[in-house]
Amino acid sequence: MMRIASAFILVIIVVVTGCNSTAKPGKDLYVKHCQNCHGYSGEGLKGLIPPLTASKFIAEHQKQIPCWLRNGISEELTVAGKKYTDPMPAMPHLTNVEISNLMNFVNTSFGNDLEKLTIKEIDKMLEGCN
Amino acid sequence: MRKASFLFISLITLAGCIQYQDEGKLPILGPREAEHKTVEGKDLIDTVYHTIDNFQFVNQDSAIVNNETFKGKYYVADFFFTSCPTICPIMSANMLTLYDDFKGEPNLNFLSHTIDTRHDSVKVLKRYSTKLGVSSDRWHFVTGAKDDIYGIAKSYLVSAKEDKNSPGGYIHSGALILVDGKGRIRAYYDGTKEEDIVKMKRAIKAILSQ
Repeated sequence: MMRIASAFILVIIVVVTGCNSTAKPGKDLYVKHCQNCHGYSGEGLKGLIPPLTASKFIAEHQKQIPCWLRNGISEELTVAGKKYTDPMPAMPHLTNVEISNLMNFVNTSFGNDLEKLTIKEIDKMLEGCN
Repeated sequence: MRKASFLFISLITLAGCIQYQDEGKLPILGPREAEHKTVEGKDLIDTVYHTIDNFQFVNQDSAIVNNETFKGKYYVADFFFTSCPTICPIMSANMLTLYDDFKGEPNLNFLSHTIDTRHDSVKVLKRYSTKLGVSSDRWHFVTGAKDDIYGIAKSYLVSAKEDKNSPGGYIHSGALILVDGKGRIRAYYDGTKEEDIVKMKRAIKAILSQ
């Protein structure tokens, strides 16, 4: 009986860890690299830092966002009707997998409900960066 | 059993009151010296507390800001720079919640010093404060001679210096420093931690209501 119970608990632990394995790294990366500026709930900072809750903008810029994460962006952006001119720093140290995890976290958080991208798709987008 | 619960609840309430009282009695921080005085032939010892050194900077509206600006008022000071890629945005975001929560409270002001005096001109600071939606009536963003800014950071007992290896080129404390109307440091809070900001708001509420 004891053995069955232990096995059952082990299976639950494995399943739970497995389920979290895709969401957790993305969130951890967000907290480490993005949250100080874009905020705990992706709210941004007034007229200085754009919100990630702007679902339409996020959806329309799926191809560009991985490039912005890697190379930064200094051109003006209009997000949810507001203009943002401050540059976002480059994060060249992020690997393709990390960028993929970050993208997928943002795509499924802060009110965004977008399809998750595969690592192959991210690889292709990053190859196409200017 | 009922008595025990009553005692327990009373103790918790009392503990809460003590904590609340403590927040209203913030200590005076920094080094202090003893001053010997002779009054009417008697030797008296007076404590001289650390106060912020004299300063004079220019704010986002090109107005002079100095110790007199904050005389008789509490103020929150910090050190930042507008292009800071790390802790500054969250410090500004947290300062902003203080600014908003204490709107209509003339006895609480804010003073943000740029440590990037080369880039953060009056014009840049004006743009930053406008985008943040705050006015110099209560929140001063100041710049000045580099040595003066770094010197005053020492007086606030926090670090601020150039560092080529740090993101953005500067290294600085993330502290929000609460200073009283006599220029004495009363508390430090971590400007990047939400729980510290909650504590800070409670303490400010308590001291302002005294």
